Amino acid sequence: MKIKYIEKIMYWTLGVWMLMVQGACVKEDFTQTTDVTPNIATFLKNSEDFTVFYEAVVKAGTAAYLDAWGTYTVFAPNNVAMDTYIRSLGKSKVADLTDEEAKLLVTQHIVTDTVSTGNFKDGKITKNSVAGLFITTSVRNVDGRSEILLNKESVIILPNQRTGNGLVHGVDKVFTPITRTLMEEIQANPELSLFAEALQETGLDATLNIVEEEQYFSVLAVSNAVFAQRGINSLADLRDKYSHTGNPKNPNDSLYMHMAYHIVPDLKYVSDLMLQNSHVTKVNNEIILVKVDGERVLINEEEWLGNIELGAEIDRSISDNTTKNGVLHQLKDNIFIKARFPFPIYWDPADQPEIRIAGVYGRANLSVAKGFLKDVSWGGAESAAIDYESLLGANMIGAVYNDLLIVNLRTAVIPWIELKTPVIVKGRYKVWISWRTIDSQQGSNTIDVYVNGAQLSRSIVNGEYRNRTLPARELEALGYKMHLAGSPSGANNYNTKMVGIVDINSTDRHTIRLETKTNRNTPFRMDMIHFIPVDMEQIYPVFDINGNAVYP
Amino acid sequence: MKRINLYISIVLIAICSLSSSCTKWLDLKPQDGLVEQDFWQTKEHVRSAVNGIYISLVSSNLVSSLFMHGEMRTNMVELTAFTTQMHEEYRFANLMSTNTFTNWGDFYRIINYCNNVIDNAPGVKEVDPTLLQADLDAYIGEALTIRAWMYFYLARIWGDVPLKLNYTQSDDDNLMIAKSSQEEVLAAVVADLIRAEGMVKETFATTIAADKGKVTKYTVNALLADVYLWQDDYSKALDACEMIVKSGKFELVSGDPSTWLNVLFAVGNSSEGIFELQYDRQQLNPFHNLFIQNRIYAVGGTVYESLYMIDESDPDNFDVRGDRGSLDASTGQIYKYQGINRQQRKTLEESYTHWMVYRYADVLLMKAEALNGLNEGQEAIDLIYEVRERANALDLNDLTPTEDDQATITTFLVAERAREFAYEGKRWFDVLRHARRNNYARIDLITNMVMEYAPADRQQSMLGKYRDPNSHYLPIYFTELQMNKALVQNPFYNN
Repeated sequence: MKIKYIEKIMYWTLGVWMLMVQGACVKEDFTQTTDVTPNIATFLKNSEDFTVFYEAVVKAGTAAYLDAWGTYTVFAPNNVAMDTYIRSLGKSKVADLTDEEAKLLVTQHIVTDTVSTGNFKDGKITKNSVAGLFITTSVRNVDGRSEILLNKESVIILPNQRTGNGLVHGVDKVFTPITRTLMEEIQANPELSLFAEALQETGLDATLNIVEEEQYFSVLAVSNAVFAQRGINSLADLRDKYSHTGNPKNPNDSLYMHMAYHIVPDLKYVSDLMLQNSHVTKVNNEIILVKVDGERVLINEEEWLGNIELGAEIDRSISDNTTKNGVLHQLKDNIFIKARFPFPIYWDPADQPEIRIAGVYGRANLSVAKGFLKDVSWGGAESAAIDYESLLGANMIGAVYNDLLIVNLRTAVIPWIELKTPVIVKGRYKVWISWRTIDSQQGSNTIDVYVNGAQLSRSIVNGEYRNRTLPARELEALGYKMHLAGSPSGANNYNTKMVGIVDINSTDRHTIRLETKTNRNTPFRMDMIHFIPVDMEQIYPVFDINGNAVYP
Repeated sequence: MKRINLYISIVLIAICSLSSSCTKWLDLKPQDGLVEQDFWQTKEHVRSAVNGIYISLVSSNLVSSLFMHGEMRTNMVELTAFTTQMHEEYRFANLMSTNTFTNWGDFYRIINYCNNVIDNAPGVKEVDPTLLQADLDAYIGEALTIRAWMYFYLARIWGDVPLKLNYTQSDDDNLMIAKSSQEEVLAAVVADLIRAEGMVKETFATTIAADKGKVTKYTVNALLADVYLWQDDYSKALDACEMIVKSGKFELVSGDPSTWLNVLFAVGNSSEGIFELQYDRQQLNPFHNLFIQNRIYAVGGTVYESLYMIDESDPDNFDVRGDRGSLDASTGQIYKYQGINRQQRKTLEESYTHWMVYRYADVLLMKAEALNGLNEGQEAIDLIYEVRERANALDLNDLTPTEDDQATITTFLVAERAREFAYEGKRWFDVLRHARRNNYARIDLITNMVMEYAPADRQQSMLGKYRDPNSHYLPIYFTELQMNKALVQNPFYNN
């Protein structure tokens, strides 16, 4: 009996032990979601300072999609900003807003992309808000403290709050909807009254009032004070000075052209203007040139035939005004269409800024890899390089500036090369290309020349020697010339051919392209390219190896 | 009865298996290393701990990040296609606290190695009487100096940072340390250096590499001069420089174009070197990778043309530090760490050009800066010319300042430092140090430099940001903020 009793205890102990060993098999409460980051609407709802905006989001019916999968950026006005805004409408709380008002308010603060402050540049962010509003960003420094400014009015107070479906930036002011067109914006500014009158006079005001999708303008406006600097105080002065047909509405009238020259038919904030050095205007074939000098952005400042022509500076502090159909800038001086007469360009295509910076120009040889030169590009493999050659052997001597650009122009290596020319004034030119002839057993390549995509009438055969028996004028009549001065030792090996006549339509830099369809192993050794107006002397000047022009 | 025994034994086994198994065989020490309790017993332990600090300087990412922090925000470099979004954020003033470059981990790790030596080495003297007091002092002095050097960087890169001056043994230590202000950190750095000055050796009397690669009195004084300049304490900075100059142990190496690069950099440990991080075949520097292989940094677009300049009329008249000195103009690569001489380059396996922490030219120019601050213009100008003439700087960039024109001397000095110490990780700090004096009287030094490399579409925002002094210091990395609740983010990054 006693034994059985003990046995029982044993069994019990064993049982308890078994239970303990088996461990606590209780049902665990696993988290079923993979991520607990709140989405935008939830973030706003649970925030301290953006609850009023959240009410508006709900009211506008956007709460659902701001909590759904997607990528958004929300510029959320804080509660103070929202209260100020609602009160400015004469209402007291979000519930008083109409659905339409709430919807407009909310959608102009939403962008369907994730844009962190790291993506901000000077000017507008890449996407418009859902309501179609441009959002511009800039940085303002107040008493040594910098802050990021949106649309020139709202300061970011809580940047880059990452949520499950995008970013939230807290701002201290509701974005003011943009309601004015460019023309209305110009008219609203009393400083620009003369500019506005002149636009009306020429009928350009209608253009600047058009609001159409994807059609924008940028206006470089001139204030009354700036007009006055140049002695123009009234519309009558302007008309006297420019209108030569008597009808300023005629697009050929100079007043019309003068005003249209201030309009760039594209959306260009100052930073966009800075990115390119020329922009087309509303006037056919007339461009404005942009030069960046430190912080200053100068329009039409350029060196012309050795003289510096001073340009007009953009007044950055009052520029970049966004309107419904474009952006308004102001200039510190007026700009004018310049009457320019075509003049010849004698261009050494090897004179590239990068080659000068490398310190080899006229001094040493350099193998130039793809991408090294900003203004020259070519086809072929990534590794296909061109050569800058300056240390020339005796039978080469004669090249202008003592250098050649050597391009292995053949279909298997470099099938084409494109170069950006210096600025050429609009007009009609003969194009001459000079090269060092190469006579190889491999044969020669035939090279076609294109200017701005249009093929010129004559091609080059790089094995062709210059005819040395004909007199210069007869040679010119055949479309050849000698471009070297004196009798350098390699002179006989150089040839210059007129490859065609080209109409240059705008005063700008243009593109010249050399292309071949043949594949001989004989590189093209280019010396100079001349653009000479058709009515000018074509043979002279010639050049010595230092690049000096020599006249007969 | 037998059955009872069986039950009893089952129960015993059960109890045994329940109670924890704290037996010795589970408690073995590692067989291939020492644990903390067995360390700090002999002088060899102290020596190896100090060597460990030096190794951590070259084996960690420290030097790449010193280069980055010193050059990224300057016109000396250009970023290439190998860079990431994070590089661009840093360069174009769009830093956020999530950018890993804002992590200060490397610096604090090295600081902790130093703290370990400073806290634990003195105890060894009691255990191992063969450890001489002079040697012990030197070891502690070296650790103090390197700790000061690290804090000096932290204060210049992040501004206000937490000061941790004792060893962190485990996570149980209190690590919730609030920031100290930049002035407090610099003051702590000076205190450490002054203490170290009396402890470290003048020479190790072994190899030249030891005297150039380890902390000596001259290293401490060069550092002190630099810190004093950051505190605008010109007379103390002058004294520290004088100590080095008067020792007569250092000189500028010859500026002969055929030897300058080779002696000073390619071979290293020259008579000009004061403290150089000693890379060698076993421990290569990171620069072949950064500048050649997957090159992240290239030479800034204006460096050759506007900083060193080119004498168009005489090709034989050139600044030895320019093309094929600091840079290779034809490829746009940074050349200082690659060149054996003007013609030959090092291969990847030979890429062990030292990282110059301080060299004699630096002392001369720091002395010039101190003298200029003390209105001793002429002496300052003479020193600048001494450095210029060694390198055959071109007359084209000689600003010819007059002795009472403090501002022009400053501009000249900053440009000369850019030429002399190109790609030695000093440029940003030089510009910042000069710009911030007298309540940012020379902020133009920063804005003009930024304008030189800012892309057109970011120029205005970058300038707007750089006008806020808080933007000159990095944000605290976000994980630090999460873990250490006592930290407060730099206000610039809060809005």
